[in-house]
Amino acid sequence: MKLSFDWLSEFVDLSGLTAQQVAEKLTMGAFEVEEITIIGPDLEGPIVVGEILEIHQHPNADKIRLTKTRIKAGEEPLDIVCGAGNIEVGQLIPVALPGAKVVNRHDGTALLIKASAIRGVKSNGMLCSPPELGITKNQQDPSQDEGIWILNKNGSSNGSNLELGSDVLPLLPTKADYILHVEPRSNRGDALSVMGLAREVAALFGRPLKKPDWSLDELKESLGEKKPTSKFNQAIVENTNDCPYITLRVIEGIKIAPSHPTIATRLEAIGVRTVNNVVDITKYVMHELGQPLHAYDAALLKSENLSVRRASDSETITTIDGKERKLNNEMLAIADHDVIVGVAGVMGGKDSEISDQSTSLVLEAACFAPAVVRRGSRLLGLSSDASLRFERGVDPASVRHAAERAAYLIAKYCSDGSNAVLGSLIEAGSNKIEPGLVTLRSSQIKRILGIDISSERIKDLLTPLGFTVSGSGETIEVKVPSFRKEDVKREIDLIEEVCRLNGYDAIVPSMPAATMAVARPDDSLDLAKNALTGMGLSEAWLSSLVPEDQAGIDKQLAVEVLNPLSKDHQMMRQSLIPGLINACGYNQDRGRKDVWLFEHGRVYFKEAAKDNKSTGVREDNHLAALISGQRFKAVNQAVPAVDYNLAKGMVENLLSALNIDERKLAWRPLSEGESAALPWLHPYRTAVLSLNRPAKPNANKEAPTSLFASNITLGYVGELHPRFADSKGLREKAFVFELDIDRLKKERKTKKFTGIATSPEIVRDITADFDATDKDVSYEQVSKLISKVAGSNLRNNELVSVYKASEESKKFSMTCRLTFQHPSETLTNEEIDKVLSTIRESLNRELAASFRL
Amino acid sequence: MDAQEFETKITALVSTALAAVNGAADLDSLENLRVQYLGREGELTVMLRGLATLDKAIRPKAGQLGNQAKGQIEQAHESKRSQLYDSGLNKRLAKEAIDVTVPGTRALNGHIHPLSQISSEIISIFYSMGFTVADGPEVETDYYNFDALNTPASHPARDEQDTFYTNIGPHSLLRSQTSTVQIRVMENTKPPLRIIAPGRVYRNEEVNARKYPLFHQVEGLLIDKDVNFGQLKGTLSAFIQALFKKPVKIRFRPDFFPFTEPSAELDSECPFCSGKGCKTCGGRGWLELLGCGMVDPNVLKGVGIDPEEYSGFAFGMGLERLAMLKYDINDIRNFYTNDMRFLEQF
Repeated sequence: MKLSFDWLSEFVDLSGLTAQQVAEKLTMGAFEVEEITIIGPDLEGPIVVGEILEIHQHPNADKIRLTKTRIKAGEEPLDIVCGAGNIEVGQLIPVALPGAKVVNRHDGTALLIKASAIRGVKSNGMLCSPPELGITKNQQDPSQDEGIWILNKNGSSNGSNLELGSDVLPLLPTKADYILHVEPRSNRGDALSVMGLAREVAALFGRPLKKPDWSLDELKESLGEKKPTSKFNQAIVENTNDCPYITLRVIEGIKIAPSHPTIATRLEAIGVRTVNNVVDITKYVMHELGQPLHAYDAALLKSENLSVRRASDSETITTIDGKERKLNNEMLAIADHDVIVGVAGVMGGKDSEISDQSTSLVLEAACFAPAVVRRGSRLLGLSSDASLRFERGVDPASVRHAAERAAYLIAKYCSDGSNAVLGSLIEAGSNKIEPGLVTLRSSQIKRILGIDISSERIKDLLTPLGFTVSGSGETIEVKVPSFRKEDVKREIDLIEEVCRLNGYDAIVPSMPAATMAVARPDDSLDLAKNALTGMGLSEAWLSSLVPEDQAGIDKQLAVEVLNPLSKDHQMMRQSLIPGLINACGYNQDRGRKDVWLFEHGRVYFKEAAKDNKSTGVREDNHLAALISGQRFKAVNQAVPAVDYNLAKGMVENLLSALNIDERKLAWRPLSEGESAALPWLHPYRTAVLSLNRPAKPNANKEAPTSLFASNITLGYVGELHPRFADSKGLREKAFVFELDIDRLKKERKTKKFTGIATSPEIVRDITADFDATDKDVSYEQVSKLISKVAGSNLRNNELVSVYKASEESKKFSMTCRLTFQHPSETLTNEEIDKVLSTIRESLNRELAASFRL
Repeated sequence: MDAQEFETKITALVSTALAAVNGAADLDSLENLRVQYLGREGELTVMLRGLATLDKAIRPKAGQLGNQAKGQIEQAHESKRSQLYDSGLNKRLAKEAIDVTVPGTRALNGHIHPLSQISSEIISIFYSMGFTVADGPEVETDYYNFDALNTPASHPARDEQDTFYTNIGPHSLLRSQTSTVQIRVMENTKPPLRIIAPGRVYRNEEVNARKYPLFHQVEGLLIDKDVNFGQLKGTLSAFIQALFKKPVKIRFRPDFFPFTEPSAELDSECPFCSGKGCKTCGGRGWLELLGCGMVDPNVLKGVGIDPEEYSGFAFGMGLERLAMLKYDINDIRNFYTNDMRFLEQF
């Protein structure tokens, strides 16, 4: 909310305080002031009364003169240069001294005064004209605008009591006001007003609140014994849970006109649009006291009462903003018999609003339940200054005071002379509040805040805010004022209040005692990221909210946002790859050919909720990458091709960095179903990595096509499907992999040194010929079979070459280099030959391999 | 052969041999000379073999002369050999000259995303203070996101425009804060506990330079006996100094969060204007770094921890905000666009 410094000063003594000081105190007292803006001339001293003693011609300029101006009796005069034509010796004039801030009369900006040289002559200040002091033409003698402001002109009354060196600012007809932009606090509805913040300022500075200088009773007396002619006489409340208290009052003899200047100026200063004298006063009182009010044109009400009740589904209202709105039973309405004249706490109706013709009115001040107002406001998509306050809670005990204040101002400012006729207060519900009583233990203050605060100090801190504090020592009894009943209910609420008023700076920093052992964090992700960056991949962070039509989303398992920001942020992703492909396209579109990216992030699948702590969603951590373009830039040299093998090699390196035993893993081609589910993958150039053991019965039966639904699947690596790559506008071939890092973590083995064998190695190549006409044969099958039958002395099996006579040929040969070694003994050629022949037999039997001799 | 005669003969041989060795043109002819004089049938070898036939009286003297001669020739050979080797090698190396200023073979370097970097840094600082990392789901229920955090149904944060709701069920939402992890940890672990929970959160806000529908927070929680506000201040002050690696002027400003009381906002003096007020800090001179406070007794009670026995503090910070401050990034969208020109600067 916007708080006027001038308005505030009506409620609390601010003498000697600047707006800046008040803002700082409020900020450190839980009411953050985000900004201070200035209304009116932005002037700063020293600007003082001076006397012109001498005037000389400037040596280098025709229109500029030099003055000797004295600003203190008995002191040397100052040299000040002046361009105005109206100065004479003996005049008293305003002098802005170095450091002062005045208004630049050419463009209205701030002008800082400093000692300077003007055409080679030193000047120690500036003689000011009215515009330079923020005085506009209309308000002062127009003849003076172009010249210096002569304070003792024609022996004016001003001149007689002017003292040399005294401050000029108090002499100015218009003063600046400072508007403090205070962040509203959701739990402090009581502080959304000048009065509420005045209480805070008074408590924070230890200054007294000022007593209001108005009395409705006195005004009534002066108006005489007139009674309203209207028969309006009743307020009806259907349910006091919705509306604990309401007051209505008839006021007649009204004349609608523009607002009194003081009221208009203050409202405009805080950005409130003025309408007419009556409406402005309802707004004025709301901003002053925090109580929203509404005035109905009494002549436009049909019945003799207003009732507060839930609207029914068939009812409608045209609100003051001119929109017709459908109501329902969740909304609270103000009804004139069967006509809805307002949405309670939100906005009044157009048909009964105050117009230029209005001569009598019914003034409403009430307390509506926060939840009901909030619900109505949300359902209608309509919020107002009134709903903002009702949602945060309005104090029933303060309603009447505000109702009287508004009646006073309307009677005083909205009629000709003393024509206003004030009806008596009509009430319904109750404004009686049971006082809240909270016990505060001194030991708890020490326990929570770490410092001791004496009971005397607590009393001093809380009393100015309206709390009644009694008792001392360990147990302190605190009576909570009605307007704080909602946010101060417990001991901890009082501890916070004491802490804030005593100042957070008074809390002494310390360190918590070490009472527990530290668990070692899992380092899998760090190792994986190190390995990937080492291979040249940069880390991406992608959105987990993806478009509704994202490829590869299994709709049955999809987590979908019901109120998405846009169609582009509607689904929770099930794979990281589509995002990486988009990022690749984004970079290629900007001329970047080589894009090597990886991401660690979550994917989301619906699953059956197991218990009440479960969310019904499985969230897995995936690690995925995309490579496109070259990694190396070399001059006159071939660089390794980026192809499927390079991408697969990266995965293999990654597995090795995580110390995962490759013998526990198996690679296989993509199945048809998987290929359909993951449309970005080349159907014949993708390998699926899984654990080399049978899958457990599928926990997620709803997901037969999802690759990761099987609990042994670890991930895949492959070339991007050309159709998919084309559709995304990729300009280069790209290769991707995606792994379930949660499952990989579980397969890591601890590192252990197994010694370095010193016995000799025997290396043998074995070349097998295959014919894939009937049945495909993969390296995976060959190597797994060799491992199975070669015995424990096989150290290493390296695929050296795969040879095909032509692309189309179904016949091919595969050469494996086998390294044999016994940990301690020397193997003989005979032993190895025996093993090799076993291998050949097995390959022949199981994979129909033949061997050339 | 008398001594005189032997000496004359051997001297002549040495001088011929030395002249030949020193005059050798290349390593091959030098090798031929070595064989000619020092080989098994070489001239000197043969002559020395003849010593045995000499008179016994002159044999010692002759032997001495013979060994001297052998040494002289060997030495001359070795020095000539190394001279010829060096000059040959130098010629070859000169032919291998290249433009050494040509760029090296470069490779793409992998870069870690700035949000990862700052997250790791934050985690390691808190790790050194005894905190461990905890984790929780992003698709949450309104119980963990709101109710358990003392945020009643009427709180504005529960409004639909702030929170994304999902098709999973009437209570399912995308968490709007990592504070959910506090509750899940406290439900499962008895105090004392110290956790830090980095993670992704979601808010239904229009995309602009400062806002994105998802962002990241790091949540912290410490529950123990006798934990007080002073320790909260001490811990977070130490953290800020460690994160920015220099003394930073900070202040704790009262604020309101439903799940902590008292609550505070930790502000640092704006590094861009040294507190004078600028565009970055909106003229305030201070920048909000994180929210914190003493865990509200209602939150503790809700997870079955007795607030009379235990107390604690919690804090939460936005990773993007800290990274933007630390690296001077002015648009939050940079973090999710993944432009290589952005990523490669970190």
